[in-house]
Amino acid sequence: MDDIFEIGGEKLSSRLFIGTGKYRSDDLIPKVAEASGSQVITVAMRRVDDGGKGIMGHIPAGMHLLPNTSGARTAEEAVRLARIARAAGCGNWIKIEVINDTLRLLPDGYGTAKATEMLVKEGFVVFPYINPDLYVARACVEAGACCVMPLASPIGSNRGLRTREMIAVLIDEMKVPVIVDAGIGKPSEACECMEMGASACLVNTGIASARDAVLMAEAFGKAVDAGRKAYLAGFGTGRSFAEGASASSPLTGFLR
Amino acid sequence: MPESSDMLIQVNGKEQKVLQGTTLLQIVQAMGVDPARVVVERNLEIVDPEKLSETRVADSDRIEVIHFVGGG
Repeated sequence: MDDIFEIGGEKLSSRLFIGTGKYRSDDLIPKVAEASGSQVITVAMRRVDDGGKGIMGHIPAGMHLLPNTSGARTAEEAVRLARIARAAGCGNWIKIEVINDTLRLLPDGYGTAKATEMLVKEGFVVFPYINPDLYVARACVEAGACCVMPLASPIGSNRGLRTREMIAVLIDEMKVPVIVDAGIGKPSEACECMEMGASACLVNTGIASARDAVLMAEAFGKAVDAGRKAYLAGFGTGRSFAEGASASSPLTGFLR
Repeated sequence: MPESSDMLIQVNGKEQKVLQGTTLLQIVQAMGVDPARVVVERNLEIVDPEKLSETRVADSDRIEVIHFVGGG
């Protein structure tokens, strides 16, 4: 069965997006990308330090780049970073991060919606990173975002799907894809997001901080795929505790 | 102003003395990075990569040299 994820003018067969931060060695990134099956990879932008080589030499050819605006504290700073990413020849996709909270790195929904509006007008395909808040999500979509990217738990925390109920609301309400981003530490959590009907998951720290990042990347790829297939298959109805069991084998014709 | 006089500019937030006539390309090359893998801002304006070799810095310029790093 073909299950193609259309986003930002592209057709993807993998619903796992991966990051490039925090690897013990950036040499792992091409192997992680291959093992994960992912077709979308995020990068950040920073000032060049003396002799710093940057990440671009480690990005496999053919992957879709999704630069982020991490480091931006205001909508205006996010717009500036987005323009720099485009000037670098990285296409017109941009993941908006507008963050002032240095402890939990929670996104500023107002600044994010404002940056979305400004960048959509400049022709960017905008992926906004948000708290799973219905009103912020709506503001971003009304401004022209191609999706919403609600957090599962704080960035880099590996704390898993803590915002389950709110993400379920977004999946139910939004007409654009919901891509769960941040905090997913285990493949089972990514799988659950997909079972709930999320369109995709973005995982960075969950893979990068694993003892064997390449093996974990493969596990995440399979988990996202499994969760998606389960969502498409549709779950059978459950029974309450009081209703007890429902035999899977016939209750007649016993040998006595 | 004589050719050899110094100018004071900022590169990535740090003050730097450069000679009159210094180009943006020379500044990038002095940082040891591949000019094809950076974006240069001069006073908040993005500089066309084709023009790095012909753009000479002016006194008090604020230059940012930015590249991609790992991130999520």
